[in-house]
Amino acid sequence: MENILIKLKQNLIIIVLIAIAFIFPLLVKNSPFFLDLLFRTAIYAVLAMAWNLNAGYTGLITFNHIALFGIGAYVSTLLQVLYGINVWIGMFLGGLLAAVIAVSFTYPAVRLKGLFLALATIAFSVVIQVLFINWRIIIVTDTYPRYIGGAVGVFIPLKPESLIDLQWHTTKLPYCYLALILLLLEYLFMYKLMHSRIGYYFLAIKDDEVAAEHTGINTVKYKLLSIGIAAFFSAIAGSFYAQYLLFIEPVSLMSLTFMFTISLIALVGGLGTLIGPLLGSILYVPLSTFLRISIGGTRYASLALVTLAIILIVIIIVFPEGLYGILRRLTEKKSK
Amino acid sequence: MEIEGLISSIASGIMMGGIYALASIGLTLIWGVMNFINFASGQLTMLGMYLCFAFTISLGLDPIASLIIATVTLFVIGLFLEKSVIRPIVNASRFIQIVVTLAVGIAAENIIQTIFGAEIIAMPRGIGSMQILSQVLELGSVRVTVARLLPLPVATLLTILLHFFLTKTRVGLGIRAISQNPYAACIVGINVERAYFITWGIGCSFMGLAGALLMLFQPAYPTVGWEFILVSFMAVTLGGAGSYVGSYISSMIIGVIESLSSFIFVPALRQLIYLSLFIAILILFPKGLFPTREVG
Repeated sequence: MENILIKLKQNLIIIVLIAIAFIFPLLVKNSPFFLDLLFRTAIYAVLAMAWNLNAGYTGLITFNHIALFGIGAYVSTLLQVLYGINVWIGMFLGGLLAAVIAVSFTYPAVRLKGLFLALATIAFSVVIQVLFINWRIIIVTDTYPRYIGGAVGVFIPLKPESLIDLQWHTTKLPYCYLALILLLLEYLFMYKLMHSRIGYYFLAIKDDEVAAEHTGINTVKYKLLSIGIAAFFSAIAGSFYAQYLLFIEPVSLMSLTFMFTISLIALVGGLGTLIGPLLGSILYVPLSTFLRISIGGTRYASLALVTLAIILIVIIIVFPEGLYGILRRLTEKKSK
Repeated sequence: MEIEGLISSIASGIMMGGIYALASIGLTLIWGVMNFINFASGQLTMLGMYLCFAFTISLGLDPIASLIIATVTLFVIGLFLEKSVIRPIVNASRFIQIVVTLAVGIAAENIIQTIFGAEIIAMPRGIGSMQILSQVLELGSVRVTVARLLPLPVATLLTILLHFFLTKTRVGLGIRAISQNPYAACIVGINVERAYFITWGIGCSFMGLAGALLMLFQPAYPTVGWEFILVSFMAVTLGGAGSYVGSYISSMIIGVIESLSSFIFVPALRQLIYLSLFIAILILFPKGLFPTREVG
């Protein structure tokens, strides 16, 4: 009993966050604006958490998650459009495919250190984006052939509202809950992972790769494992996002700006911590939306991003440990 | 006909290489001396383009004069950036360097978008020396505008000047000493902070000059910087961090590969070809073509 209480106390922040997250949608269920905000916060947090696994725990600077996010979105969408395969199966297949692609790309590049890996993965992201922009598929229906894909994007065929087809049209509330559940599952997975032997291997690789190798850790295998897991979650988030918008196109979905936003979120929240990316997302998404609303007219809309960038620069310079570092310092002071 | 097309695309690749060389020398200088990664480099080039345009249009200066003033302004902007943003994070981890400079770049991009709007802008052809610069020359089978001929000699000249600055002057020797060992340089009495300050100024003015020269023959838009970031990082990784001659040579190679791949394949797939090649080179030579020192 006492043990449970101590555990509860240790994880108080996350439990409170979960409770708020699951009650909040009910309070705002009539406001599409807040539901959209919540959904995006959750999806960004899922992506930032996946990025954090590579960057914060295993110490690999990778910028390919946005391409994998896109691959996830495209696989589930194209399987639905072309073959009528259920979205849940497509989502799972997309996750697996993204993991396979990420691992097979990184396997030859695994010797690359630090910035070189970052550059190679940025190049990979751009290559995937250019491929999707130029790749058009011809569908021959009964009457006439038509193109889908390319820069124009793909529409997901509308179906009646149901959990099986993952489509709701009158309210976005179920999407929010599913995104929160995805986030929670990812959090639990990361928690278990980082408290297991594999998690300690990851940390060892980050601290000193040579030393890790000398203690008998197969560094290549565990680096690839980390990349594969992160890719899987990024792609699942992609399928979810596609299903939420019911439309995908490569230009904005796979933009590098989006990728850097994700890494900024993880860094502001606190790199190498479990709830850091979540905190970063909770700060970033509402703040950016709020700034866009308050400053965003027609002409000065871009000043919103300037303000946002400056706020984030100041946070990172003043608190290099991110929001998590601030929180921890506050709670430590209290307990003293 | 095929051969002529080939020659002219190689020539235009080398001429574009001049722009890339200036941009990547700015990057490699900061990287080599301070061991600092500047992801705002593309946006600094973009600033060079817009400043050159703004000085010509709103102050009514001659394009060549505004090109020089834009370069000087970028020098000052570089000094300001070093003092305000870079100095607190100069010894921070790679992540913080990358993400903070990215944020600086995004801020710069959006300031420009607020002032000039998101439209594509181009230098008007009638103003001052633009009349000469926009004339078309025929050199054998190669047809180019005068403005396109400028970057290559300018880049070559400045690379040589930079070489003399770094090997002959007191400040330059100090900067080189720091790039080899900051602690030892500090002990023998070199002012490290001032050297960093100057390095940033020079680096930024090189990137700005690349943009200003580009503005004379290409249109600009606020997000144009992203196209330079990858190219100049490619040049620096291939040429070796800190090696300006390496950057100069690999910029020419990248320029030629880029224009050849749009000549041989579809222009839309240009990025695909040269980025795949870049990935392949990185995989085959994990430390760059001319490795200089432990980087990463």
